[in-house]
Order: sequence, then C-alpha cells, then structure tokens
Amino acid sequence: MEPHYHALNEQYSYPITLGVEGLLALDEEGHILSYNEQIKLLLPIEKIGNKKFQDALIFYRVEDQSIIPIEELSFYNTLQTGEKQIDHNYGLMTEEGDFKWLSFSSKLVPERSDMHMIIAISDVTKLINENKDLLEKKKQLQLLVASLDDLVFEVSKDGVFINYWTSNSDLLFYKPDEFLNKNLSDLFPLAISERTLELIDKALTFNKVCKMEFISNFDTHKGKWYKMKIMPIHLTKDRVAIVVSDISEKVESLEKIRFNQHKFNQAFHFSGLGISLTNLKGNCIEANKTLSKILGFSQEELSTINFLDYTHPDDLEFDYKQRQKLAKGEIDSFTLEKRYQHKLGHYIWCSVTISAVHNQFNELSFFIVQLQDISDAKKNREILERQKHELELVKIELETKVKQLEDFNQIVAHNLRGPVSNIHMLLSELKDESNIDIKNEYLDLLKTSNDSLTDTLEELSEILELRENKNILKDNCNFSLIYKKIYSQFIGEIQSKNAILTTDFKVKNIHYPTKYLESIFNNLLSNALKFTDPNIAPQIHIRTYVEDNNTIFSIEDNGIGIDLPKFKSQLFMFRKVFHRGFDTKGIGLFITRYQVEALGGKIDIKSAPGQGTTFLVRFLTTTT
Amino acid sequence: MVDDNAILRVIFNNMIKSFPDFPLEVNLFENALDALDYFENKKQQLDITPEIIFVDINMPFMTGWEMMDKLEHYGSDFLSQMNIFIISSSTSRSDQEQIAHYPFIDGYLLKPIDKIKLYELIRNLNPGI
Repeated sequence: MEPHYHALNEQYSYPITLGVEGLLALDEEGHILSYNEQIKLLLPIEKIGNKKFQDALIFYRVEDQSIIPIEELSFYNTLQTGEKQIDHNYGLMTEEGDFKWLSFSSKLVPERSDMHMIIAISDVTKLINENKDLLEKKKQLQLLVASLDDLVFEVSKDGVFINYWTSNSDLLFYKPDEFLNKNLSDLFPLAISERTLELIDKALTFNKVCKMEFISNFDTHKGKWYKMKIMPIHLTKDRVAIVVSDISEKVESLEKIRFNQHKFNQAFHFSGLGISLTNLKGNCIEANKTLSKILGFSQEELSTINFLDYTHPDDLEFDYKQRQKLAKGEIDSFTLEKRYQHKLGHYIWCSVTISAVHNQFNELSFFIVQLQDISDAKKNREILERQKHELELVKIELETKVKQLEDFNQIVAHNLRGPVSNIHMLLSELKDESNIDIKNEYLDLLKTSNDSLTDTLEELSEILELRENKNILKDNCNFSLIYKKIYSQFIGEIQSKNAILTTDFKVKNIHYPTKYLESIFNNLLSNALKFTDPNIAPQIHIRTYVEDNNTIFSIEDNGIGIDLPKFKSQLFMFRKVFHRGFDTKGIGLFITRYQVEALGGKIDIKSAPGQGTTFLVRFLTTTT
Repeated sequence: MVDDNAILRVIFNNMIKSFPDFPLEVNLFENALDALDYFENKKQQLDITPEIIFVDINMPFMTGWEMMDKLEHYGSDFLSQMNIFIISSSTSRSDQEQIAHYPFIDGYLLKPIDKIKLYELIRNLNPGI
C-alpha cells in the first residue's frame, strides 16, 4: 500500500505536543502508513517509498558519527518489543554531506486499528551542534589548565572559593573539598587573607589586575614564594579570578643575583687590591678607593682617565697584546708586572691581574683590573738580587781559594815530597855505599834533587806572590799594544814555523794588571806555537769580544789539540804534562790560571785531538 | 819499574842490582805508556817469565791507576804471572783506598823506599829460592 500524506490528528502527537514534531505512523513491519506535514521537512520521505522505515535510511551516532545497526535503533526496538522509547538522537546525512540530528520517540498505539506504532521526530541539529561545540571548548580548557603551572581560582567578592583549575592537585594548599565554598579568611593566615580581600575589592572597584607576593607557611609548601594575581572577570562584579604562581625559583635566582652583586660590591669597594672596571680601550668605568690611594687620583679623576695613558711606555705593548687575547677569549685572565704613573709623575710597580667579563652573546663587556702596589717588594727584590750577586762573587772567590788550596796540597804531595824522598834515599844509600863511582853519582843526583826542590820552591813562591797580590794595581791595557810586544818576543818561533797570526780585538782596552795580561798572552801564545801539527801550517787567531757583559779573550790554534775528557781536570794544574816529545815543564797554564782567577776571571778550553785548541779567558767585569 | 822520577830510577836500579840472594834483571820505564809497550811485546812473544812490577801513581800522560786499568784487560793468565806493587809518596787516603779496586795488586810501597824492606818483599815472593 502506497503511503500517503495524511493530516494526523494532534491527539497522536504524544508525547511531544509542540506542533513542530514530525509524526510517522507505521504498520507491524515498519512500513509507513501515514505522516504529517512536518515529516517532509525532516525526512527525505520520497527516498523511503515502500521500504520499511528502519531499512530505508542510514542513521548515525551522535558520539562518533558511526553507522547504527538496525537492531540498536530505538523505534525498531519499539517495533520488536512494544517498549516505548523517548528522545533518542540519531543523525542523517544530508545531500550536502552535513549531519542533520533528529530526536526519535516511539510507542505502540493499540487503541488504533489503522496503525501499529507511531514515531515522533524533531530536529535537534542546533542543540547537538551547540553541545558539540561546548564539549570541544571544555576539552580545550582542560588542555589549557593541564598546561598551566599556575593555580586558578574563581572567588566570590567576599572571598569564598567557587571553583578552581589546576594541572596538578599537589599544588593546592588544601584538598578541594576542604576549601571549595569556604571563605579564604578561614583558611589562610590573617596577614594574607586580609590583604587578599582588600585586593579583591580593589580589583572589582577599579576593574584592574592586582598583585601580591607571599611566602607559604604551609608545611606542604614550606618556604615557597608565590605570586597572586587578582583579576576581574569580564562583565562580572560579584567574583574574581585569582591566579597563584609558584615564583620560588625566580625569587631564589633573584636572591642569588642580589647576593652575588652584594658580594662583588663588597669585594670591589673594600678590597686591599686596587680594582677598576675598564672598557676594551682602557677607559676607566669604575674604580675603588684602594686604586685611588695607589695612583693618587680621586675617584672623579679616575673615572675620566685612560689607564693606557698612565702605563709606562715599556710595558704598553705586552699589556695591550694580552688584553687583545683576553677580549678574543683566548685566555681567561693574565697577570703581569707593570709600571703605572702616579698622579705626581713617578712610576709605581704593580702586579696586575686582568680578567674579562663577557655578556650573554659572548661579547666583551668590560675588564676587571686588579692591581697591587709592589714597589717595595720590587725594591727589596733588587736589593736581594744585588746581595745575591755579591754573594755569588764571594762564592766564586771562595771556590777558587779552595781549589787553590787543593792545588797546594797536590803540589806538596807530589812536587815537594818527591825530591825530598829522593834526597832521603840518596843520603841513606850514600851512607852504606862503598863504590866510589856510585857515591859520586849519588852526590850528583843529590845536587840535581836539591836544584829541583829549589826550582819548585821558587815557582811556588811566584804563585804565592800572585795570590797575595790581590790588590795589585790595574792599568788601562790596550790589547793591540800588548799583542805587538808579545809578538816581538816570539818572532823567531813564528818565523821558523811559518805561523800565521791574525787578530780581531772587538774590545780594545781592559783594566787589568799589565804584567798579568802580558803573562797570560805570553803563556797562551807560547802553548799555541809549541803544540803545532808538523803537517799543517800553524794558524793562530787571537780576538776579544763581549759575551754576557764580560770581556772574552780567545786564542784559537789549529795544532794537535788535546783529549779533553781525559785531561781537562788536570790541564791547569801544577807541573802537568800531556804531550810526549815536547820540552815543557807544565807550569805555564797553572800560572795563567792563577793570573786570571786572582781577579775573579775564568779560563776555559775547547779542544779535541787533531782539531786544534781554543783557550777562552773570561775577564770579570765588575758592576762598578 | 815505572816512575817518572829519574833519580829514583837510578837508586832503584842500584838497589835491585845489589840484591844479595840471587841475580835480578831490572827494566826501568819513565812512563806507563812505555811500560805497556814492553808488556804488549812480551805478550805477543808468549814470554811468560814472571815479573815484579813497581808502578808510581802520579805520572804524566798516564797515571799508575790508568795503567792498572790497562793491565786488568790482559786477563788473569797474565796477571797470575805478575806481582804488582804501587810505589808512591802519596799518603792520601784516597790513593790507599784505590787499591781495593784492583784485587790483583799485591801491595803498596811508600816512598822513600827502604832497601831492607824492598829486599824482604822480594824474598817473600820467592820463598823457594
């Protein structure tokens, strides 16, 4: 049977009787028997045709827009069981692809013979969509609250907690049921609650945000700092929003900064060191009192000066270079000793430590310059240095003396004891000897021994004379003149050996006893001419020059040389002979050494067998 | 006998020559190098005649101790044939102690040399004769 439009009577429109519902009359199987005018606006009635109503359309769930199976539809349930169903919301897809939300109520109508069941349908699209929007907003609000570290309260103008939002209920001072609907003056200490109530009043009166900070007394949040913002709510006069934020960390770091600042200020102003902050160019930004005292400038004067202008010119370059390194971050700090010019003009030695302070972008903000007046220390150090130098001279002299005493011991042991023991033996042999020839030989030997002993004693007294003659007068000796004199003494030997002598006197004169200098020249040249290599033309180079403030006299030959590792310790000793086949007594170098050492000098040798020999005489240059 | 003291060499030579018990031959050297040349030669000729060596310490070119160092390298076969004595006028402790480094040295003779003591020393080395 073709369903047809039929003006259903108002009495069938139960349960909703506002006259806007659509009404459907169905038979036992669900075929539409009739419908009212409204239905045409709500359902695509022409699509249904002869189909059963429950099969004709696809219904969707409000919650997730999923398709609802027929057996779950409320009116199908009524059809099956006869049970009345009220206000079930299902969606229909419109041709535009939107959802139309409809409310379905259904019941059987046994009192009517011409129909089995009636369905009342009304459009709830607007409601459903609004509801959906609200749910969405609620979700967003929950997300927002969850992301807040703050506590948000809604509080009445009298101070009663109406509502709260927080991401973490541990942040609350009380459990929700302990503070909701309670007045804050019953919950918080007077000092906080009174002030809060005042601020609520102020916020409402002037419609502006009021703030206060407080420290928690609650055991659960002991010592924490909070900031409370009391905010009026738009168009509302009877309550406010209160936002409470934990600012402990901020307070703590502020406190730390304040402490550090204080520490630095104390250190800066009351330091025993002179301290200044300077820019990269050396201009003073700030200076402390100690610095004023050291440099003689007042604080005002200091603030206008550039320290580089008051640095000794000799100290500028190093200081500047180090500052550049510091500015580039190559070093963290450096310490130097430099001279600052005092206001009165004289220079003051300071030990200066400079470090750099960089900003967050790692750019140089300023230098911290700390300086200590070390003029006195410097002066004392100079005195000590001088005394040390004097002591060293004394030490050298004493060492020389000890060495010389050891030499004399050796001389006594070997050079005196030998001839004496000879004489002793000769005398005792003479006593027993009957052979007249041998007796005569022994008498000759006695004379020889005696001569040798006499020679040795003479040489010894010559040396002793050198030792005693410490205050011998010094003359202004000219090396060239002395050389000429000595050269003439050796002219025979030089010519016979075809020796070539060259000179280079970079130091022309020296204060020295002429007799000694001549003797030194004589002995060393004599050595150089004596120990020549017969296969090489002798070349002797004599020169003077300055080294470490001392005058050096050097005489270099190309002779046979000497095995230094073996002989050096004995080279300058009394009566030491190192070369076979040369007529030599071994006394020359010993005397030379004494003539050098007597005035604080040193004699040294460089040589190797076959490599020639260089004698170096270092004359002590006294600071006076 | 190795000593740079010419006078001592003459006296020593006479002392040895007039040794009463049996004839002795004496070689005199004025320095250690010459003495070593002699021993080197003797060694090459496989001459194993026993000798008594008297060496002064303080000599030019080579000291008595340096000569001892050289002799040490000649080996025990050579050294066992020799009786070695140091003669010196030195009374210094260091010279006396130096002897301990050379176990093959038989003794230390102080100058001036006493003829009686020298003869006794030679007799003690040759108890069989």
